[in-house]
Amino acid sequence: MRNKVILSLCIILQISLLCGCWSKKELDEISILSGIGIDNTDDDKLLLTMQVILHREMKIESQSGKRGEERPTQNVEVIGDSLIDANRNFILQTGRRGYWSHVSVIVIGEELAKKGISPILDVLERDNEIRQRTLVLVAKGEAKEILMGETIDLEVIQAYNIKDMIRIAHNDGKSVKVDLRNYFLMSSKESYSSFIPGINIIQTNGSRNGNIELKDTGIFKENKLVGWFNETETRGLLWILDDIQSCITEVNYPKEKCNSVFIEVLRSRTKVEPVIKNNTLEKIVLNVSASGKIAQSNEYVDITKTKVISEIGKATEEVITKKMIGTIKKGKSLNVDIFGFGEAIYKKNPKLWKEMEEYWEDIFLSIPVEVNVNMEIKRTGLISKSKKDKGM
Amino acid sequence: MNKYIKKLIDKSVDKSKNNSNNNKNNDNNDNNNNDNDNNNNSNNSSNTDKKISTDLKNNLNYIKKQFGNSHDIIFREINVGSKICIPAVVISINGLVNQNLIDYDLLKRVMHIDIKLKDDFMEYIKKSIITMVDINDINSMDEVFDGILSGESVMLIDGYSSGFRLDTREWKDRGVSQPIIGSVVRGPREGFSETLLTNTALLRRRIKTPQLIFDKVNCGQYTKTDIVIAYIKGIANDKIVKEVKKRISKIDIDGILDSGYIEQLIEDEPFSLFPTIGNTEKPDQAAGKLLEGRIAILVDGSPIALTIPFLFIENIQTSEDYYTRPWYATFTRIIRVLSLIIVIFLPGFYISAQTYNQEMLPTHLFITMAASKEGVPFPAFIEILIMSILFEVLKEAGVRMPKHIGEALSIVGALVLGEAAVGAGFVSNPAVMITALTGIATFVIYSLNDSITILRFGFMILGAAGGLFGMLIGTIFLLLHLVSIRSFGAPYMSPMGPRNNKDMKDTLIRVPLWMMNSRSEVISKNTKKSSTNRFVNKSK
Amino acid sequence: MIEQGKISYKQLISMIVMTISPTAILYLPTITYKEAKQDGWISILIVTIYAFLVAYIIINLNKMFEGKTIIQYSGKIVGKYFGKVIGFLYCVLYIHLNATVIREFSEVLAGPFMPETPLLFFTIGIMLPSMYGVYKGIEVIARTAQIIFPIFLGAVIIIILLGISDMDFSRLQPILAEGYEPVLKGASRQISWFSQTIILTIITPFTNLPKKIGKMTYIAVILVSIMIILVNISIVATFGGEVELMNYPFLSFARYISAIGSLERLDSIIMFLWIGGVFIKIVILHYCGVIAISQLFSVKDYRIFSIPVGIILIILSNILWGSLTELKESIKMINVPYNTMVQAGIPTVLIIIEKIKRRFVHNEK
Repeated sequence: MRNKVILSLCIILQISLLCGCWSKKELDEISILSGIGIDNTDDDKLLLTMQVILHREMKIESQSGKRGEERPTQNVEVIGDSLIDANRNFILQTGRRGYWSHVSVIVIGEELAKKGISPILDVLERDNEIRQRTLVLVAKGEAKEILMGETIDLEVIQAYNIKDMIRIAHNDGKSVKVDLRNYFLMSSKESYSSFIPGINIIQTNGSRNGNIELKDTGIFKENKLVGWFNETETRGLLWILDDIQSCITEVNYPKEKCNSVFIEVLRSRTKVEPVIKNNTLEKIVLNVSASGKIAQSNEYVDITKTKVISEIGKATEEVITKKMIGTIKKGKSLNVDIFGFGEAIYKKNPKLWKEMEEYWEDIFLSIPVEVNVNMEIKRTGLISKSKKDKGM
Repeated sequence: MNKYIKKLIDKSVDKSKNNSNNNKNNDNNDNNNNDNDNNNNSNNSSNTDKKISTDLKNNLNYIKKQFGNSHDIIFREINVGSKICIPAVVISINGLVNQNLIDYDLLKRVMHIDIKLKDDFMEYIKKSIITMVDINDINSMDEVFDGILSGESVMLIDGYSSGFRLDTREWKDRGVSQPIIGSVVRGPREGFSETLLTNTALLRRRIKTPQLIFDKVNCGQYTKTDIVIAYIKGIANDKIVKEVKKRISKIDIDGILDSGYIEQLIEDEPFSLFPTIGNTEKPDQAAGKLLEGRIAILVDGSPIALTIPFLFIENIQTSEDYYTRPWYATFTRIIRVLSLIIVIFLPGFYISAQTYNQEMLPTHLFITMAASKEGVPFPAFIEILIMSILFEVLKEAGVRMPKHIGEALSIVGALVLGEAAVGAGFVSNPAVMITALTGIATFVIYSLNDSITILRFGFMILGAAGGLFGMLIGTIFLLLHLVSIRSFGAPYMSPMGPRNNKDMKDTLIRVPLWMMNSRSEVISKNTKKSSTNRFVNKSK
Repeated sequence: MIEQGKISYKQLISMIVMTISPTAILYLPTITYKEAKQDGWISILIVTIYAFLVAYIIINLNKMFEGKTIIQYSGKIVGKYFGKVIGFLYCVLYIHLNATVIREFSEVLAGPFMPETPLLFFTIGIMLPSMYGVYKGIEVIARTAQIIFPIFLGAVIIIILLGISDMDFSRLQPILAEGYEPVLKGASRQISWFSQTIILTIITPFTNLPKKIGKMTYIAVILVSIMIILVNISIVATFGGEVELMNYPFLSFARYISAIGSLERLDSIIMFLWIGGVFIKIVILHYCGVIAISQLFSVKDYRIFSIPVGIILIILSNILWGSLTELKESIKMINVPYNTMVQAGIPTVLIIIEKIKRRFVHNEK
């Protein structure tokens, strides 16, 4: 009996010390990636730009308090037949395996987007290291250059900077925010169309590689890039999708004096209502209800009068309506139903949708859309009237 | 009875049987010689129960032979009665007796008073002459030796086959001082001392009911230690009392030096990491447990009392919890549980987060950790292992070293381990921080100190071998084991294991005192406490 | 040693809930979505009714023979030979089901978290505590279930609450788009889980309040049903159509949540709390298997079987299926019919026969 106990103890000890622990990823075998850029090469391969965090630089920074000479990130460019292949080729150039769990941004190059991103999407959904909260962006140009762009001094890791930019821009109604889950949801629906925010490099003096800037929204049909929405249209898109959290709208008021008032929208709610009569789709009505406050006024506006406030409200409504209609027009011109109209019809009347599904593309082009906006200006900030400008 | 206990006891039975056989043979020979040589009027002289002979000289010779030449034994030969002058002898041990007491209350009385010879002489002396409070008759040599050795004085009178045993005990003692473990901010600061009578007195002062029973037993062949089993009749579970007495009576060991011996010999699960018998050094805590229906064991020579049965939840309760108001008590309980979790799981968690499950950590934390691991030669497991072992070494040295050297060494320890190790690149900063935090958290719950230190190492190995999964398997094993232990019949994890909602009032939360109006069923059969179940400041 | 433990009714509830829910939470949303799309929760409601029926049959069958397990009394109903056959079927059921569960469990752990580790590591890792638990007896298992149950429940609820901000309940519409057929089909896929109250056939003799078993089981079934419906709704609301593609929707859901900005990356912790739940299921099934075998062979001390059965389970779960796809297919083809037949069919037949017999005897008298 004693011998058995000793024997089993020895075996257990050996097993635990052998530590042939298969899935072990020691920290000095992996390199932490913060951002990925995917581009096309001439011979139909994928060029992956992987932004590696140099944690040693960060350690020196945190310990000595000074900023190191170099940035704490480095971009490594790897070529491969597919995403997985390129990922493995990373080792050939760096000697460490890339660790994708902390990637915050994936930038897709414009050319690749035009060709189609379906093969990449499969890997992105299947792999277990990639998290579905990773943001996706499409570059106006090459993704490689975006990841080399300069970043603000406060956030030294560039990809995280981009993530912050998108997050705040989305909060302010300037851009859409698409993470992998959103993208998969969009591209798996009946209409197979989706959108991804765009990002650009602007050359300025004083920076080596140019500054990054968020610009436009890329529109995809069946995972191929077909067009861009500019800023106004992006804003309209946000209105339609009920994705406005707060934004600033410029309203022309009073019209005679060609002056503007700036309204900050605080709350909004959009509902898509398909109007179905006699088993046919008549039109689609978008009902928007929003409330906001006056962010910047001008001297010709007398805010103390209710009439003026309601007039400003109406003027705002017109502006918003115009934006939304403009967006829908552009969407129709590109023939993409990214607004969720098809879904709304399916939710309301599934049988009807089944009949319409095959012809939806044509129907979408010709369906009339009506926009009703109800805007309430509730507050005016800290002061009421604006000061007169003497030098007018 | 648990088969492990049986084995241990049998082993110690065998061991001491071998030892004692030799001694017993010697004794028997001596007895026989003495009796045959000198005895005229002595009664039946059996080997183990030698009676006091009426011949004083016989007795004296016998006693002196047993004691050898020990110089601290005083044989005071006196004449009883100022006129009748019967020879007698008072035997005591210098250092164990209060000599003033003997002088004034015994010797002076017995020697100077004119005692008349009467028929029941001994009774007369006992009742009318000797003015000491605690006096008993003794009839056998065993009692003589017992008496002398426990510090009482024994008086033998020539011509009588019985003697007296007088309680003159007094010795230098640590006194009732603040206990070392279990110090509190609010609450009594008395602690048990090494003298049994002081301890029982401390308990009596707090529980003034005649139902508080102290049963005395004797244990240990050479030490003959006095052990008192204390319980409140009517509240304590009789079955448990019987079982305790049974187990103690089966102990056959050379000597009991500390209550720890008793604990290890009668406990239910000798191989488990977790204690099933509680320790306390404070009389108010012991009294509190007695009132709940538990049984306390006080051992002479040890300031630590044992409480039976002992549940896991008691590790988290301290006596101070009951003296403060419920909110803070609940808060500190939660902190204690938290530190328990930190100690057991944090090092293993750190190792598995670094090695297997890096996706668990927030990004910036991960970058910082990766950064601080740059240049460190060891993997995370070895780092933490080295730091933990060093910490244990420091701790042990700190306990053992003489006070004066202590302070200088602690500075060295902190400097060496903390700063220089990191600077030299041996270990990384997070490892030092985690080991320090874990080490300090170990002391929050003193009673589990040893168990959780070992568990911590176990979980480190599991975390290194299997990541979070390995730690989880370890946790399940631990849980299964804890749930299956019983402490003298009470399930160890009650009231959480077998869930008993009435008893949950005093686990993680501590409800106000006026709500705690029942005793736990697993401990006592008498579950109704006499308490008001609402607070009394509302006058009608 | 004859099992002498007694479990209380509260422990019974936690044991039943923990037997049915863990794997159901992990796999059911995908399975129901394939058939019923976004109406999965309705099919769960339908299945609950079925679960009630099965529980009712089993409880009443047990009531007729107090203090005996099905292996012991099936012989009395249909004769010794058939009784042994039925007993054998039940042994096979418990062992096969347990092997399936262990395999599913190892796949979930290995796939997303530690892919390079061979499955044997996980299998042995979870079977070691299981063997220890079975050796110690039903009381230990019941108490552990009682401790783990609130943790498991709490973990599930916390995830759901944390993920509320990402849910879009309009994805659950339109309700009953395709009519009742898909819903019923989806329900038919789930019946093998919900009739796992079959463990009652073995555990009933060990409870100390036989009269209350009925009520407790119904409460447990309702609890399970509510939990699964909640999980189903939240997953469909978050992931919409993608649920069809996912292998482990609950895991992806746990990965996705991000609340208050920094409470992210909880997936490892949540999954390992879930593993606690699966362990209880495995150990209960292991125990039932061991008791069934020991009663089939009329051995008094069931504990000697705990380790051999454990080893059999380890071996079976590794060799019966080659890949995850094979596992899923086999579940659909083999498990569902066989389990339903043994879990629901046999008790129904037995109770009918017994009732007829008793009425016969009664009439004769």
